[in-house]
Amino acid sequence: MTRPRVPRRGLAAASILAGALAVHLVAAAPWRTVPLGLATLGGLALAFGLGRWHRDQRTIGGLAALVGALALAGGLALPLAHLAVPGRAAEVVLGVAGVACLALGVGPAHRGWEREFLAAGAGLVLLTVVLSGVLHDAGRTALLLGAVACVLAWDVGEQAVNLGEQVGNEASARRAAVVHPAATLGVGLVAVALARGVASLGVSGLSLPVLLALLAGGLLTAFALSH
Amino acid sequence: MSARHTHRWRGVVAVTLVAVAAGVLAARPDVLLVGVVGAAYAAYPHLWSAPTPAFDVERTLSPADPAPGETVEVTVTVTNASGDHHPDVRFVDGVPPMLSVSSGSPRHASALRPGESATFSYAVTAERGTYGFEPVTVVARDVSGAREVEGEASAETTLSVVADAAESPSWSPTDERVGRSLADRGGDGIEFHSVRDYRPDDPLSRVDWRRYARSRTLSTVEYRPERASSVVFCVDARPCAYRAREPGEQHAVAHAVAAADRLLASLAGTPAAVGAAALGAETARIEPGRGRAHATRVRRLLATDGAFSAYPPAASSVDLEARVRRLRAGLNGETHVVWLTPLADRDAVEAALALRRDGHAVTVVSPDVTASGSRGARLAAARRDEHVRTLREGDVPVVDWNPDEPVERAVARASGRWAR
Repeated sequence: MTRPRVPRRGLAAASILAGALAVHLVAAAPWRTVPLGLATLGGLALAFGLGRWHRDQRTIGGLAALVGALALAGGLALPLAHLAVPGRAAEVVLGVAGVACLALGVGPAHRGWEREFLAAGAGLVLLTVVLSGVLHDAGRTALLLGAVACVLAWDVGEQAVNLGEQVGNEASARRAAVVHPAATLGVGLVAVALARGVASLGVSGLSLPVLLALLAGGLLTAFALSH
Repeated sequence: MSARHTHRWRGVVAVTLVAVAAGVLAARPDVLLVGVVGAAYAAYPHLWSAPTPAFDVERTLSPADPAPGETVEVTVTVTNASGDHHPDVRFVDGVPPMLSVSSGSPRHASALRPGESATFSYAVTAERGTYGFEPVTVVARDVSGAREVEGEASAETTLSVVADAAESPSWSPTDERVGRSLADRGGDGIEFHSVRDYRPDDPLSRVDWRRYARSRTLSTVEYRPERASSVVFCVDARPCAYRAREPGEQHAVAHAVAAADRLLASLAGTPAAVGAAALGAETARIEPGRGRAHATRVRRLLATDGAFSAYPPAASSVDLEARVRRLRAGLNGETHVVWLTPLADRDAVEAALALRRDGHAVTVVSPDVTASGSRGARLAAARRDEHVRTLREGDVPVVDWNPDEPVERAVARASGRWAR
C-alpha cells in the first residue's frame, strides 16, 4: 500500500485527551473548563484534519485543521480575560499550548517531526503540573495523577506514531493499541499509591540533610537502573 | 533476530529531575513526590527482558487456483509458539513484490498469550504467473516498548495463476504469434522445400536465377524453416541489473522475470521445449523440457528460486563470462536463447555475441529502465543504445522493451521485423 503511514487515530486522540486531563486535574482556575474543552476539541479536530490532509483529502482535512487551529487559538486567548491572577492564567495557557503541541505531533503537522512535537507537548504539560504544585497547593493526588496523565500523553502519542509507522491505520491493531497504554496506566497508578504511601510515612518532617541523603540514594538507584 | 532499543522512555528521567528540583527549591513536598512517579516510569522499562518471538504461520489463499485478474483473499494466521506472553507484536506479511494489494492491509498488530493465534486477511489481484510469498516479518516489543526484536516466520505459499491456453479470456492471438515466433527462430533453414511463382515482395536472394536464365520466368525457392527444438530464458540477475528507473519502481530483474514468465506462457501452444536459467551472484537452471507439468516447474523456479530474487544480492560483481561459458557447455546447438537483460554493461553484449558465435539463435529482450533527466541517466541511456546497436550489427535481434507495455506486444512488433 502506498498510503502514508500517519499515527494511529484512536491512540492519537487518547494522547490529546490525556494531556488535557492532566492540565484539568492540576490547574486552579475555576474557569479552566471552557478553554481546556476548546483546546481538547480543537486539538482533536486539528489532528483529524492533518491526518486527512496527509491522505490527500485536502478540502475536508484543511477545513478541519483550520477549525481546530481556531479553537486552540480561542483556548489560548480566553485566559487573557483573567489576567488578574497571572499564575492561574499562565497554567491554563501553558496547558493549552501543550495540548496544541500534542495535536501537532499526532496529526502530524510535519512528518518526521512527530516525536519532537509530542515531547514539546508533554514537556509543557509537565511544566503546568510542576508550576501548579509550586504556585498553589493543587492537592497531592491531583499532582500525582496529573504527572501520570502527562507521561501517558507522551507514551500513548508515541505508541500512535510507531504503530502508525509499522502497521499503518488500515491494519487491525486493537489489542496492541489497548494493552500497552493499559500497562502504562497501571504502572502510573502503582506509582501514585507508592508515593502516597511514602508521604503518609511523614517524610516532610525529616530534616534537610536526611532528605538530601534519601534523594541522593534515589538518584543513585535510578542511575544504576539506567546503566 | 536483532534487538534494538527504542529509547522512548529516555525523556522520563527529565520528569524526575524537574519535579525533584522544583520540589526542593520551592520546598513543596508534594511536588517532590511527583519525582516518585517519574522514577517509577524510569525503572519500568528495565523490568522486562528483550522478547524472544517464535511464531508459526499459516497462510491460505482463496480461491487457491484463481484466474488472471481475479481477487485472491489471503488469510494469515500467526500463532505464538514461544512460551512467553507477547503484549505488543506486529506482523507484516511478505507479499510477493510483483503482486499488488487491492484491499485490506497485509499488516497486523496484536497481543498474544502463549499458544494464542491471531488472524488477519487482505486481498491481492491475481496476475498471470507463479509467485512465492516471502516470510512474515515479526516485530515484538516488550510491554513498555523499550526494546523491540525483529524476526521472521515463514510459511511456504505459492500462488500460481496459470491461464489455460485456449479457454482463458486473456489468451490472445498475439500470444500464439509470439510463441510461434520464439519457437520458430532457428535460423534461415537450409532444407529445400519447394519452388513457386515469384511474388513482388520476395527477397532477391531467394529467386531461382538458374531457372530465370533458362526460361525467363521468375520463381522463388522456398526452404523449410528450421525450428528450434527448445527455448531457454536466461535472466541477467547480476547486481548491476537491479536498477530501476526511479527508486521504488520495479527493477530490471523483476521485469525480466515477469517477461520470462509471460513469454513462457505464450509458448504453451507450441511444441518447443522450454527451460530457464539465472545468471547472477547465484545461478539456477532448469533444462529444457516439454509438457504442461514441466512448464509449471519452470515457472515455479522463476517465482521462488533465490537466484531470481527481487532483492539484490550482497555480492558486488559477478563473472558473467564464466557463467555464460558454463551455460554454453550445456546447451545443444538448436536451442534458442532468449537473453533478458537491461544491457547495463558491455558484458551483457559479449554474452549474447558469444552464444551467437556458437551458432545458437539468440534474442535479446531488454527492459528499458534508463531514465531521462540527470546527466548520469542520459549517459546510461546512450550507452544502452550503443549496446543495442552493437548487438544488431552482430546479427542478434533485440527487443527494446518499455516495461510499461506488455512484453508480448514488444516481441510481436519486433518479430514482425524479423519475419522473412
